[in-house]
Amino acid sequence: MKNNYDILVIGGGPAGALAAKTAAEAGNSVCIIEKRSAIGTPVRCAEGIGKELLKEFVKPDPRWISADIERARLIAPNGTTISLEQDKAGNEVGYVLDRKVFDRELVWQAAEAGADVIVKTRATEPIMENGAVRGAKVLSAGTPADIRAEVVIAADGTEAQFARRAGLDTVVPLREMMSCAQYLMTDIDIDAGSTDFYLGNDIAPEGYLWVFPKGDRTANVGIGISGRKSRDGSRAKDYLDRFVAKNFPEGKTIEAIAGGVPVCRPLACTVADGLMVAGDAARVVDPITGGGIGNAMYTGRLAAQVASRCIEAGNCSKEALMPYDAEWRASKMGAGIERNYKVKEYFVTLDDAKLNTLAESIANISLKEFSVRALIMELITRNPKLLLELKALKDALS
Amino acid sequence: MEQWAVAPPGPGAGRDDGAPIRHQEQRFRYCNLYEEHKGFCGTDDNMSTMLRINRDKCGYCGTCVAVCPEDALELIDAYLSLERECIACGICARACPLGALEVVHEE
Repeated sequence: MKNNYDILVIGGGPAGALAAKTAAEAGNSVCIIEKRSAIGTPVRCAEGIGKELLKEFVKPDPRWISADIERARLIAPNGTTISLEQDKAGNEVGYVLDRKVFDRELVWQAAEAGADVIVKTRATEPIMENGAVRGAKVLSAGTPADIRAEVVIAADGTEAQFARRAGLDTVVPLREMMSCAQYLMTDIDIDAGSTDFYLGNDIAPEGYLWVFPKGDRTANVGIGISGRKSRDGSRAKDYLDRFVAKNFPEGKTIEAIAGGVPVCRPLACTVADGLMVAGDAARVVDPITGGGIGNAMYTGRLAAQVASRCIEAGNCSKEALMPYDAEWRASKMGAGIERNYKVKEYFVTLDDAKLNTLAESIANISLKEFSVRALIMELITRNPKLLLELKALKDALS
Repeated sequence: MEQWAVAPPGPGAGRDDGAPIRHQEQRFRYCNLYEEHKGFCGTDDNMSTMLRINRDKCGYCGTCVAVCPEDALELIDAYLSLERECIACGICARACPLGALEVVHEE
């Protein structure tokens, strides 16, 4: 194992892979360390991503696309269904990925660009010198080692322990941690072209339940509920089991996974001396959809671009790395997260009656654009009486 | 019992005014669960608490790691480990999607 790199990337998910690929292409020596013994498994993801977002980072490949999605349906507590059709909207919907293959493809691309990849290697703590991160102390299959680097990019996902041990506050408040469980189910009756989102406080309190197709008669059936609603007898798994017993009693579960999705605001600052934080570790998850793959790839790539410039200039201080933080916050992604955070904070206050009323008001719409923003604008247009409550939303959207 | 990780309650930090923090307050100082849980906790400062990890239920997803205010939990590949001092606040047990964690109070 080499002990010195320009850039050390902690975590081999989409953020880490894009960071490593970008950094290697810019001529840096790079290493990705992954604590798991395999890239891509176990999956902790519902695997949905917008097509346009995905294409910004990688050419779609049928080897890791499980399903091509044409519509999304939102199902209110009383069954009212809002169907958003791709052919009525001006933009494309999305894909459901096969993350096991997708993540490996991304890491393979990083490796092909020249990055080293080491699995079963866990960063236990940052190497700190004069308050700056200078690499990581690692355990590689049980053997301790030091890996030094000019810049460490922490892309260690939900756990986000590396940045935390370097002094950043990455703890997710209980109410803003979505507690999630998912079954990959087969032999079930589903619409293979539709991602379905079930809403309601009896279905998924402060969250939603999803059915994302993975092909004919196969889907990711999963749920996220707020951590504050989670307790014995009413955990994510309990809600999921109830839904499955009712809707897919004959289905077969071929994989059962769990996970936590942070829907808090992003970290107050995503850089420190010698350190950058990207992806779920930076808490750059869409607070409404819980989607994080695209944002992870975006922040991973951007972090590596800024790091490359700083390494070339010989200054990797917090101040020098700060353009990364400023740029993603000012980006479409950053603005979208801030907006959707406010939208989420409003929606978690709604009871089922209000969810039904809102759903009924837009049950027959055809949106010109396929986005959370377009949906909210339509809600406001159709619910003038709710304008007072929705004012906060409208402000968030303006 | 042996397969469960067990940790004694940590000493924790004192109050801002320097007075020693009561055990039950310390347990919930990071979340807003104190009001909800104070009956359940009892008032005995000498009560011993520990975190049990049920490995048959654990999905090694790391949700607990991200909400732990003490950075006490560590997900090592497919093994959840209590690596540092646990204050038995119970936040991880609440967040767990599978119900694999339990704070146990014993006299």
